[in-house]
Amino acid sequence: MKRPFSEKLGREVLVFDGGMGTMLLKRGLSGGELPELWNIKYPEIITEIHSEYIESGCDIITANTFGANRLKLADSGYTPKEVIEKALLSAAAAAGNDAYIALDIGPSGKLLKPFGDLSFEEAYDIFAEMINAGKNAADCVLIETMSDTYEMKAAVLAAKENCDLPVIASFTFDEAGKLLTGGGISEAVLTAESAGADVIGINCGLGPEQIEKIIPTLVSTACVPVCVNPNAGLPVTVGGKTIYDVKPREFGEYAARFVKAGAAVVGGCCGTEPEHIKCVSQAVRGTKPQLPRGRRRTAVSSYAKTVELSGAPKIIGERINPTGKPMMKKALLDGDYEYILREGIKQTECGADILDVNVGLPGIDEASAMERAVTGLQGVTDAPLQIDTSDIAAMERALRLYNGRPLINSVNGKKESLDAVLPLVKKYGAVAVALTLDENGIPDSAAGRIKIAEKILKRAESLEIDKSSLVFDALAMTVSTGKDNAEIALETLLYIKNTLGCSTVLGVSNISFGLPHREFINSAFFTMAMHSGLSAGIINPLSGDMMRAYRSYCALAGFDPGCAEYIKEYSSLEYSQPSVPEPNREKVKPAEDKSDMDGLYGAVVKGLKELAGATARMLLKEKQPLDIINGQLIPALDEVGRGFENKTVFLPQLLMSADAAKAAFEEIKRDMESRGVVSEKKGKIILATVKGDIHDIGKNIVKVLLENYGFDVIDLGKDVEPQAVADRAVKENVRLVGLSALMTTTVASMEETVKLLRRSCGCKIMVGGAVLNEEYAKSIGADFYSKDAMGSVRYADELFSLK
Amino acid sequence: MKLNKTEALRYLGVYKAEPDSATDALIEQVYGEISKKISPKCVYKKYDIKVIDKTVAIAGQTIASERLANHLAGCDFAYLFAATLGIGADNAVRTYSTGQMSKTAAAQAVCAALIEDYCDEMQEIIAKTEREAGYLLRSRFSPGYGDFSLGFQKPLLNLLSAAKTVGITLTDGLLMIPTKSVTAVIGAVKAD
Repeated sequence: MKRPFSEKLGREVLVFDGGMGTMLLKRGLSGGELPELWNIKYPEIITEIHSEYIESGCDIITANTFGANRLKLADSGYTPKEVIEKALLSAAAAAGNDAYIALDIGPSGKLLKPFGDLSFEEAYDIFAEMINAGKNAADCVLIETMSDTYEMKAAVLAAKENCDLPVIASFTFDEAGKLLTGGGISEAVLTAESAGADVIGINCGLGPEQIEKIIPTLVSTACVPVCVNPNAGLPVTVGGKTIYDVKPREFGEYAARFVKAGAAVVGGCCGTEPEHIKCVSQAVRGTKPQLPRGRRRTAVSSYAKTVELSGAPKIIGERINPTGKPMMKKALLDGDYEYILREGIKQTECGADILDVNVGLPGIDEASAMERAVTGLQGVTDAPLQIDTSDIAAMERALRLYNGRPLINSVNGKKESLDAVLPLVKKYGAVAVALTLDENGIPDSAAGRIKIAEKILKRAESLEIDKSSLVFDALAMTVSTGKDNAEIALETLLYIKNTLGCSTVLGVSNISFGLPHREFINSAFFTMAMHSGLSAGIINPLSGDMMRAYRSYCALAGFDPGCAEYIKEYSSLEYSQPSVPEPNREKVKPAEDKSDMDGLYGAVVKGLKELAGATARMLLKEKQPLDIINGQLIPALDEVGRGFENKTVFLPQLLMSADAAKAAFEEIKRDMESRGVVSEKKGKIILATVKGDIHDIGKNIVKVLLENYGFDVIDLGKDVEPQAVADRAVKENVRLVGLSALMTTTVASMEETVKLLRRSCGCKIMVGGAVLNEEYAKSIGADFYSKDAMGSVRYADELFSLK
Repeated sequence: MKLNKTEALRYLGVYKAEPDSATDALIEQVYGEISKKISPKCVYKKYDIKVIDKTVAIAGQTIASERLANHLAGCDFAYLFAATLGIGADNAVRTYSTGQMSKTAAAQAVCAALIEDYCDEMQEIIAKTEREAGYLLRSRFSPGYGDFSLGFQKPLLNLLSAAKTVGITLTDGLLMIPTKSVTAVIGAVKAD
């Protein structure tokens, strides 16, 4: 009987086999043919190849299941189960008790959303199906050749949740150590380890020479054993054939060096053959692998960025939170996620390292709101997110769908919280903010808070959660009601940092509740906290005072060598301040003259976004919103729109004006919201890019223009099922639906959508897109063909002016 | 790789010799930002071809396309070719599209111009080698153009292992991700 794989892993160097595809090509597999179908056609050949590798001295053979997923097998006539079972039979026939069998899982072949069109859960299902088909006949799961952290996470989770086998998570990096989706070694390792990978690997893409340069970083980052399976060199084309030219002996010498550098498992990928593996086996046999070298880090990551919550203090942007923010609240209730994404982007532009995401509101389905916010944000920013919720369902949904190593906010000393949250921290390998409070509330002494911190630490350790996974919140309470509150928080912070050796956070602005000009107190306290060792401040990065305190501290504390950041940010302050252009108060008369080129009208016509926003803000002090809209904004939009129709203004200018008008409208909306005034909309319009089409820029342009003209646009996005459009049109009882398609191939789904709409409701339908024309639009049954974005505005205006 | 501004403007629907200063500044700004986000990659392989009537046989595939057959008439072999600006370009456009439509449109146009220019550069590298061997390249002919079915994207990308080598994948509707990608067949004909 073989000893379980996990008993040998990390205790002795294990040797993987070499390329399967390479061997199949030699035996007549044609380019473009699915190698996995040979499991069914020629099982004895597969067994033969495995046997050759075992004879050459490998410990682990890789079953021929790499691409046996339901997407790649779709047209083959076989299911993944059939192909995988056959593969494992062939493997078992060769392995006997002499070798371990790895169930091989390669990429799905599609990119996950938001990059591509495969959802995370679909990817998970694809991998789970493979794992369930092969788990009973395999000793470990090898997930390999992954170049996307998100897909790796789906596969590792699928393995962890569907079997008990050790999981090897192996990535393909380029020579610079980057994944195709943009992440580096740090992000890859953090994501895979947090999802539960038992081994981190690198395979394919590169030869041993290039991989040798990356290995030091990989082994010093990974906290689990490292596996290295290079190609036999970089591919070269000789006489029309692709060959790999690192010879077996040389390959074996590299393998010995990889082990010396810290690898625990070595083998080969494309271009390697039994001779290579024989040399590897001879070179490393009997050597003991080194222990993993990576230290557990208090670090979180997105798909492309790692933020360490140690060393220089970090900024966690607090603005995605509806508490006390009527605009954010309204956006959440209306499902206006674009507003939330913009709020996120703005904060990163101002210097946020991490974005807190809190979408909790009474009456909201928090889990699905959290899902939309998290998946939306990770599509538009590479800043890691802090999942801020007390709703356990929402927390778990976000932990699953998060692309990277997640940060959650929060757990606390209450039994209920520890019981519910810590198992999730463990399962998803998260970093958690731990609040120093419990059933008895917030202690009013540092000693009391420290005691709770120690309790949380102990409980975490009992679940094998390393202390580096906790970041303690020392809890800032307002100094307006307790003179010692700042001192208590700072004392707690110092102890946690220096004695417990853990990282810390603070919701900094809580210190000033009830006081005037809170920024004064907040920024001073922020400096004090950083000086006491704060790892990250949860603050408003849009506040100049806070960021000035932050950058000054970093310069003073030696975290900003040469004061480079400080100089970059502030050297031109004197001249360019304020960064938002100030409207000329003398010239901007509250606009009796509609076409005042110095006022809001001019700002919109000229497409000056910041100026338009600032001017609108000023006008709002003296004028009614409706007067501003009808007196200046609409006339300006009309002038630009007419110019566009007459071809004196081109698309970029039209859009710059639209962006400027939008900035002004946003100010007006904010003003009305704060005064509780409900704005009147002209009417509801549904927009969608049809099924199969992912080009949505045209639709988005139409949307911005329609919104500027006062319509309530329901944007269903791109690649939308015909039925989904029809259902929504009925549900919202809309009078107008706009559809766009850019490809000839997708006009068919536009036609189908039109048909469904005709059957289910009496709305008008306008269509547009590069491949359409008047005649074509008529032939698929649309009411109106819009040749450009202004055309749809005119049509909508006309339609909605009829009662 | 450099930006052909006239091309970018044409994609934006600006058909005049000199853009206004605001449009020019917009394009320059977006180009500056985008060029930091892209990571162009390219892969190609050479195959023997046979053009018979209205079909082209290449790499075990038979393509029924009169336009392609005409385009490749007289060629002894052809390259399958795939190039992309990488997923960073898509990410940048997605970020712009939350509230900055002018930048979104400009980025689309800039990327379209850049990928064309990148393809030209890569094709010139192939052309140079072939010239030395006495062959001339025809222009790129892409699946989805004329009667050359978009369905050929799948075998073309498979043959090039494009998902692994350059990161190009397909959606269910056979559109490429990253969206700023180009595939093509490039024929080679013996120089006289």
